[in-house]
Amino acid sequence: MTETGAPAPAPTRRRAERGAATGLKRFVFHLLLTVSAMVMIYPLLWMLSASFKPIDEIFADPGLIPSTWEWSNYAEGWNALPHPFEKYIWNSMLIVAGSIVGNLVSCSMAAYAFARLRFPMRGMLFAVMLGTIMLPIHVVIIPQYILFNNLGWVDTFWPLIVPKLLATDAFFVFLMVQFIRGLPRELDEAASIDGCGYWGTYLRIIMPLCMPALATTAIFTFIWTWNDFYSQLIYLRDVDLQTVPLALRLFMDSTGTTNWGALFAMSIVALGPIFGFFLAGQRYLVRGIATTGIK
Amino acid sequence: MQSSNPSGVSRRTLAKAGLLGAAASPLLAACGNDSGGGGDEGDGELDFWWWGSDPRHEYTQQIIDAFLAKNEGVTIKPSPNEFDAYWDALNVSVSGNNAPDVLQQDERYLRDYADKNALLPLEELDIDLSNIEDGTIKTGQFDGKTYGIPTGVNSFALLVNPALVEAAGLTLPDDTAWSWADYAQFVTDLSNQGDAIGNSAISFSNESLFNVFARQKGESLYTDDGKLGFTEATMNEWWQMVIDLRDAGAIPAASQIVEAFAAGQDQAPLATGTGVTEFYWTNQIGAIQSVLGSDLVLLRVPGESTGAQPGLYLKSAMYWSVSRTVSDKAAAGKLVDFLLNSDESLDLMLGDRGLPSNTAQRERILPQLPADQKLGADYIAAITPTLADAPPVPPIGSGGVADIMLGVFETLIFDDTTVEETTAAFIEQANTAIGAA
Repeated sequence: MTETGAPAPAPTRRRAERGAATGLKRFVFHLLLTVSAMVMIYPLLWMLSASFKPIDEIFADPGLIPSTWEWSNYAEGWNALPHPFEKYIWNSMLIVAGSIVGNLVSCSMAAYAFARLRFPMRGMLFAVMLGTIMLPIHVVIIPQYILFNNLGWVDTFWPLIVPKLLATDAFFVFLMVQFIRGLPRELDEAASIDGCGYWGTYLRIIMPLCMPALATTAIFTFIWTWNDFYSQLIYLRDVDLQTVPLALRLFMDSTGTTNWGALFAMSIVALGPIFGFFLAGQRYLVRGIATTGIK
Repeated sequence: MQSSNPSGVSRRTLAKAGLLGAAASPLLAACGNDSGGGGDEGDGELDFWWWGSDPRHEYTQQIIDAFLAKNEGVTIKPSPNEFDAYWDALNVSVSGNNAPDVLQQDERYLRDYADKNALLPLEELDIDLSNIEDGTIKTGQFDGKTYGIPTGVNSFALLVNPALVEAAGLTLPDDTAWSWADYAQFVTDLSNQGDAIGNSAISFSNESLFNVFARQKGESLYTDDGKLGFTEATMNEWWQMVIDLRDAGAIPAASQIVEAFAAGQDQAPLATGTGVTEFYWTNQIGAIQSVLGSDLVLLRVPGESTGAQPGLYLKSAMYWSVSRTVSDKAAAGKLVDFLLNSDESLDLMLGDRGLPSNTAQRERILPQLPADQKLGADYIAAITPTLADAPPVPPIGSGGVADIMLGVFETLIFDDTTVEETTAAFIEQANTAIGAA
């Protein structure tokens, strides 16, 4: 009895044990994920909660729930600066839009040329283009500033937009070169048999297939331009032209009064567009990066 | 064919490159000839830069509007900024030959910019300085020329949270007669008897506070000829006090001090209500009170009456300067004069850029000051009669001394160096920084 009965429950028990083991494993795994997600998102939540706190509570009380909900931080922050905040958002949007259009057009053209066309010194120019990624901004900033100053472009949006039309963001050129190299050359050849010239191939074959890379470029350009502080600081000194990152700094004074509540409220506002754009384009972003071999 | 041209560069490409070079050369030439500026016959357009936070941006714009209403034909392009970003932007624009016409300057950078030949000697402009004391004006002068006119003055004070003193069962000491030993006893008692820390120790690494300590002994951080002006014994005594305070539990642990320092004024113990006292400049009171949410009391720095002489002095809060490349000297002079001397300007500025350097205006606006600025003004009025001469203008390179002092302070509190080693390290590094080795 015992000899025949004993082996029977064993598999069930083992299965149950294994079930419990994977359940436990999964539980621990999710717990770890949740905890690390909380750690990652805590600063953001802290900022969100600080944007609703009265100023004397922001640093004194580390909790996330404000004792009183200070909605006025938002109204105050919106109007505290020399211009209402929508002016800064508008200025930022203009620069972002110009940069995205510029990068999409110019970087894709440059990338097509590097990936598909044969021209003298292609290899060297490609290396030079990559080399520009490695130049620290401090090396070029003064000559660039002098150049734009002599063109009379300081205190205009041009120094921030025109370079994008000249494919100066080498990172995106490289990203798209890699992507285009992954496309089968037979498509180009078929197109050329059907009578497409370089422009035709670029516009009708390469561009439509490049959608994921273009989306990646657009999203990264949006994020980097929206968050860019230094070049906007240097070229946009006029209070009428200032952008969101510059405006946020205007709340701060390291030895004087900093309106923290308003600062955090407007930081939340400033996150809005970037968050929305990322959500909308996230699908393409993952595909664009995964298929170009840049990981 | 191949071997004669190993670079693979065709002659046609080289010709193109040559053309490109030729096209670029006028551009390069243009870089050189734009520095003429600085005419008396100006265009009436002024770039006006300052740093601060939103209340200052708002009232400064109102001052500009008042100035423009009185001066037709002048236009002003205002450019507000935050302190750190301000110096980045100014550095690039001065290097790029596009300096703002009228600008706010700071003690730490004034001499550097004057040395770079970026600032105009203000004797060339028509600015009324009759109501500003000589001692105050001197803080903006080098080599007999005025490169910056102080907007106002500040002084050091010990800011005390009276509620926490009471909670510890103590009373405020008599600050007119107290010594550094009394102070050490006071903060030790505060730490031992109350929940909050007696002093957050973030100012012992401030070279200006040490300067007060040295001056009380008849010495000084810098001498008139730009050398270090204190003895090793004085600095040893200073560091020993820090170590004694730490061992008595009067100040936080070393790691907490470093954290509090890095967190900045608004997140340091005094502002968050976890520290009872700290040394700050009088213009910082308002910001700290608003973050803390309650009122502070100002005490004099200890040792003022027990040393050889009082060590406190009036520091120029910031300066008005004019660029050498100013586009309209007359208009720039009028603007600086308006900022310094007019009722319209001071009614709005009040004590925000330091207690006004124009003493007539200082008297006039005293009753209008908000409570936090009044605290500082009363304090400065109380200490002014006993002040010794102002310290000499810091030498070039002194901007780096603050970081040096912080560096050696940190090795001291973490027990990596002894008191004597700390002093030796500071003297060696500071001498290198100011070129006095």
